[in-house]
Amino acid sequence: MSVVSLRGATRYYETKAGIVRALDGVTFDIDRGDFMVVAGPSGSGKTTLVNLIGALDKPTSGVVSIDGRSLADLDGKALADLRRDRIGFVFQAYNLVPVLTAIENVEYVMLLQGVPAAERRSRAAEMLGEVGLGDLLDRRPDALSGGQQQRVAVARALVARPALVLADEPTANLDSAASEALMDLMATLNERHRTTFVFCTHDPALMARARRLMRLRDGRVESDERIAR
Amino acid sequence: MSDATRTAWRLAWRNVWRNPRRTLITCAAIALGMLAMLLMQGLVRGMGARLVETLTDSWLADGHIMAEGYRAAPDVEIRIPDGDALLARVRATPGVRAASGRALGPGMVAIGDRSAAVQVVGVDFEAERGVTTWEDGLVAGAWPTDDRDVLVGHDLADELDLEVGGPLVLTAAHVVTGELDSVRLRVAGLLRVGDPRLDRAAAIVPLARARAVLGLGDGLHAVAVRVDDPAVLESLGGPGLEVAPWRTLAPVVEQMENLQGVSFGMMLGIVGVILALGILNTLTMALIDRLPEFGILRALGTRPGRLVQMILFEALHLGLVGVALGLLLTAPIYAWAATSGIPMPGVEMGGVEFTHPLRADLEWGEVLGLAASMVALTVAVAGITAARAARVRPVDALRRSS
Repeated sequence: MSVVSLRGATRYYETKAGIVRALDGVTFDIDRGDFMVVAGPSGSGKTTLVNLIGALDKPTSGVVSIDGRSLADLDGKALADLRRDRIGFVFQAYNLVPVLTAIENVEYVMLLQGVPAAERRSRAAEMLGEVGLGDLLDRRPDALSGGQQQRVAVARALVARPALVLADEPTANLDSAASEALMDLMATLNERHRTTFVFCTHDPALMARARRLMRLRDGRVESDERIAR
Repeated sequence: MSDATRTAWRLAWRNVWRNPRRTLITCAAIALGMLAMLLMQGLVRGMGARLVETLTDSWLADGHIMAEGYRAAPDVEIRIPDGDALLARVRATPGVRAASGRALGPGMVAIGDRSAAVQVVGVDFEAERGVTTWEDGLVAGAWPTDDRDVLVGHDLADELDLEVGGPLVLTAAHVVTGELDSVRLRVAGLLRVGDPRLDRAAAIVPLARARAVLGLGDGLHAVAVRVDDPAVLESLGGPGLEVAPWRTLAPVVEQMENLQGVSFGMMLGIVGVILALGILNTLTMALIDRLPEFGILRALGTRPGRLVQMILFEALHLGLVGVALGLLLTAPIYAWAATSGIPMPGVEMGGVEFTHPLRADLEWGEVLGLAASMVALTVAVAGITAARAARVRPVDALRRSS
């Protein structure tokens, strides 16, 4: 069964200039274990697509289902629970909670899930170790560099072992070595746990690792190819 | 407390101190509101207490026993016929601390070509010591010891240019014959008790002298009583007698208390609204600043209710810090207002002059009640902000961060 399914999904926005069709009747599935890059020029609908796939927004028409559950049938609480239990986010602007330390940021989703404190701490420390921040657990975001913050955000997205990880330009603020390490980590998790990854990126290095490349233009799927690696 | 609630509590505390200046401004507003309300409440209560104290100490005691009908229409002819027997019975009643008989009637005092209408107040000076605090109000002269001594109010003495030790002629009409009788007295002392009936228009003479001038025999118009328990008063009545506690004798006190209650309530309301608007403004600014962060928390799976809880916890922290600051700020000022007091020369309320400084008077229950109200107000106002934060769609909030 697919993790995400879109059937004729559209998302329109009303603006003063008129209706903007950010996503226009998109149909496709994302299967478990996909390592997928969504590419396209600015305004092509990438962010809108990620918002729908991430249960952050609902379609104007059409159906978006995650784990077989249509978003249209879920209220705010159920959508929150779905995001908490099934989806990990890595945002371009890091978006860590500023008053929490690195380890507390990583623990946060597990806290919402009700994971016991000791297990939470141990898993968060382990994950931060994997992204190379094992010695910076108690630093707050303002005491971390941009790259370090991004790695904390990645650790936070992965630690609760979600079925789907959505990452918006995850390597945009990293140097090439850090970027490479991060991609390795995500690729490993993808292979080991069959975690599904969907990236919105312009990074050729990340595109080069994708096993599925989808191109969007004007809110429509221009191409969707699977690449054997 | 669940793990998530504990974390929300901790997170809220840290959030409160993310912008220390904004937090301190909000807390200062709460603290100043506390100060204003506590002082206002303390002074209003102190004013009421002072009014009651002045009225009861200067004239009313805990209550009066009078002949039926005298209170409604104080006529010199309406009197307790066998006053001495009643006095003896009252003094022998358990729970009665002191009792003093009073003979009252209209009269006139004169010295040279100056004269003034007064109320003749005949009292047993020795017994009166246990009922009123007139002796403390002596501003000149001494407590009367001779049957020709008279006490007059300080204001009356000013009006007639009386001097301690000087003469004064008292004239009054005999209650039976209607004939005028004059007696030459000596001014033993000048009083200032804050009650205009005594300070401006009374000649206080020995009981026997008043009875003789007014022709009352052993009659009395009132027996002023001090009791341990107000319930004792009720047992002192009898046929042809009316027992009136001080509240009945001075309805102005209750009217004044009601008026104070309403005006104080209005002031509290106004201060509360101003404070609430200030807090709402600060919290709304914080909400706008932190909208992207709320979006992140929602995106990570935080339920709206959990977000509301965190914001309410922040408000609770703010309220508690503000109240603590308020108490610290209020304590020394209140201590001064309660001990030294605020001098109020010439100020009158309900016909009673504040001869002593006005002292603030608060009970712990009131302080705690107000502190709890301030915290509750802060949390309630934050509820508006929290509800708005909970309604924010994560996608809209996140858009602001990009």
